[in-house]
Amino acid sequence: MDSPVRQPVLSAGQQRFLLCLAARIVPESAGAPTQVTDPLLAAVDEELQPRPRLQQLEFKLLLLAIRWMTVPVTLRWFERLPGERQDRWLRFLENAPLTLLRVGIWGLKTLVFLGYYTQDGVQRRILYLPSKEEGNVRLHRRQIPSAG
Amino acid sequence: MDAEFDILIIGSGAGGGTMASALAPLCAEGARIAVLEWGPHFGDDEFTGRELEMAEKLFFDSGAIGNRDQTLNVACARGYGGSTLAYTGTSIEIPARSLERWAVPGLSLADLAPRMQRYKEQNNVHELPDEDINENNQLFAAGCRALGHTVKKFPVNIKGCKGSGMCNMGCPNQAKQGTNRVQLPAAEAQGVQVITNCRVHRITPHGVEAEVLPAPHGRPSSWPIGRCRFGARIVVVAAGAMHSSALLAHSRLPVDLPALGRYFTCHPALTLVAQHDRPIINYYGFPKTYYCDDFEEQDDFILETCMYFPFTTAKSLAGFGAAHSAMMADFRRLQMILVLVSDEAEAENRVTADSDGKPVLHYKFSERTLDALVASQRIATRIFFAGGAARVHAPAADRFLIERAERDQVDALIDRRHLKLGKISIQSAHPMGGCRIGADRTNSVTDNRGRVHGLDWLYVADGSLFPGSSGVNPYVTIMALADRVAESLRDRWRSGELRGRQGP
Repeated sequence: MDSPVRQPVLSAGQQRFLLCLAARIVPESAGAPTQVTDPLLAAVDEELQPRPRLQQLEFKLLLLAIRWMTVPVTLRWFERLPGERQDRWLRFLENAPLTLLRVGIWGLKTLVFLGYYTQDGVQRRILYLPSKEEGNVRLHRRQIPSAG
Repeated sequence: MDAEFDILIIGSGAGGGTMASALAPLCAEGARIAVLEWGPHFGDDEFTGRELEMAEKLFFDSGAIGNRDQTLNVACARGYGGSTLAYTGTSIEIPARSLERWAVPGLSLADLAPRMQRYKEQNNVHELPDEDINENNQLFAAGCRALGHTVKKFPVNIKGCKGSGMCNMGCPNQAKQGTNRVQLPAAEAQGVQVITNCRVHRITPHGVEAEVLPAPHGRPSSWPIGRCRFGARIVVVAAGAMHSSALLAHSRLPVDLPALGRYFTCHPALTLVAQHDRPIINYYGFPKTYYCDDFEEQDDFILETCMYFPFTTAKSLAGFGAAHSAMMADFRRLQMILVLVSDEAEAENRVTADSDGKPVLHYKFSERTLDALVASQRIATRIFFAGGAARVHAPAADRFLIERAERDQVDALIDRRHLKLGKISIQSAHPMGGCRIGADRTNSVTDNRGRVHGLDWLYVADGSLFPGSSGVNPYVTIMALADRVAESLRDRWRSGELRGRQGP
């Protein structure tokens, strides 16, 4: 019997907005191909799926709040602002007086980092090339890891 | 399917695994002993070293059980071997000063020391030879020495280490001598039954209500899937500080335990990251070789070397964007120091259970802990620079990076007012307390042999027994305390007290 198709926690619109935020948090993800963004979104979904409904809802509310918080001040949604101004808003939230807001941004960052820095291709790019079997061999050879 | 045992042990980590091996000789005398472990028994090839996959496999909530306001995340592993699957294997004995602070009548270093020594021998604890120490560790030692700080080598419990650096994801080469490698197999060989994938929902008088769950990983459980009741003359709870406290709280025991779940401590930890101008050998080789405890007694913190993985590292950095990416751009240039703060045992910091029995952590950082988190960043930053780092990321600094040219201004740049809870990633891998030992029933849960006050059939044998933080990595102390509990039970068994009594 086929297993039922699992609905993603985030809607397509929420996923698009998450990628917009990801582009500010990890600039290399801006305009990245789907080979990077699809695994990012999949990892985030994998992390959110087992969480209680309330936590999933909190995260969706956070995305909604970030998208709309700029409107009263700028009359524009967050994603319509220039990148530099988006950064300023996020930085404001990260340093906000309310712990709840800081925690929200930390959670958002953590999910984006989880989706990005756990990818094999990214780890190769930042030259994180561990070896299960030969770590000590390479240490004894004084072998600096390299892409080549 | 139901069953009867003489002794049930809940949990298979440093506490439960020790109990299993220390009680195993009783099997030859007719004792029926079982270990109930929530997680699976992983096959050797399942330790893949892949960060995300292993976090989901090995840990509750992927290694991040948050406190109520989400300013702290606690890592608790599950599986055959419990948290010994995911520790680094650093094997330090509890210092006399910590035991003095605990001040538990009848609990002395003279009693614990030979037990700690025995388990260290069992676990092949030794210091690494110099040729196996990588630059991440060497630079820490050099920095400490240049500043006149004492630097000590960690004794570690490894055998056949290949230097994968993946200890905290479960060793892919089975080199760490955790209870999964040493105590549990020895116990099973003597007749102890280990039932994996078995979640205990409640403790009942002389037994437990449990459920064997299908698991997507590991070997199938030896017990049929489904709800079950296990009876026992003695129940030993060793599910780790968070889960033991929550399980007892969820079980509606027939005694009043006002201190249950309270006095929780956890060694709040920060991972500090520095960048060098050149690549260093940092993630090849054993990740944690040195520590400095010069500041433990006066300033409540110790510093240890560490080397984590890309995602863990990325989330340890406050901030985001271009500066963050530049720090992460070349992993080979990173050096890391782990700060562990000895937090005070306070009654308000406690573990309760939710309606499903899962732990809920109520934890507030004390002023003293926050001061220690700041002071430790200043010291660690100086050590980084003394070791040659070009720039340092300290989460309590007023900027993302402190450059080498600014090293004389460290005290001004790193300040309490920049330490914003929730903005930075404060982690814990050392949950302690909640079922603390002691003589006074108002502020302890068990006597000094781990027996729950007022219940002669219920024991605790894990880090939840700690009356306060140990000040050092706790697993050796947990094993010694569990050994004391086991000794007490062996005495009761051999006196005929347990054998003579009919089952529940």
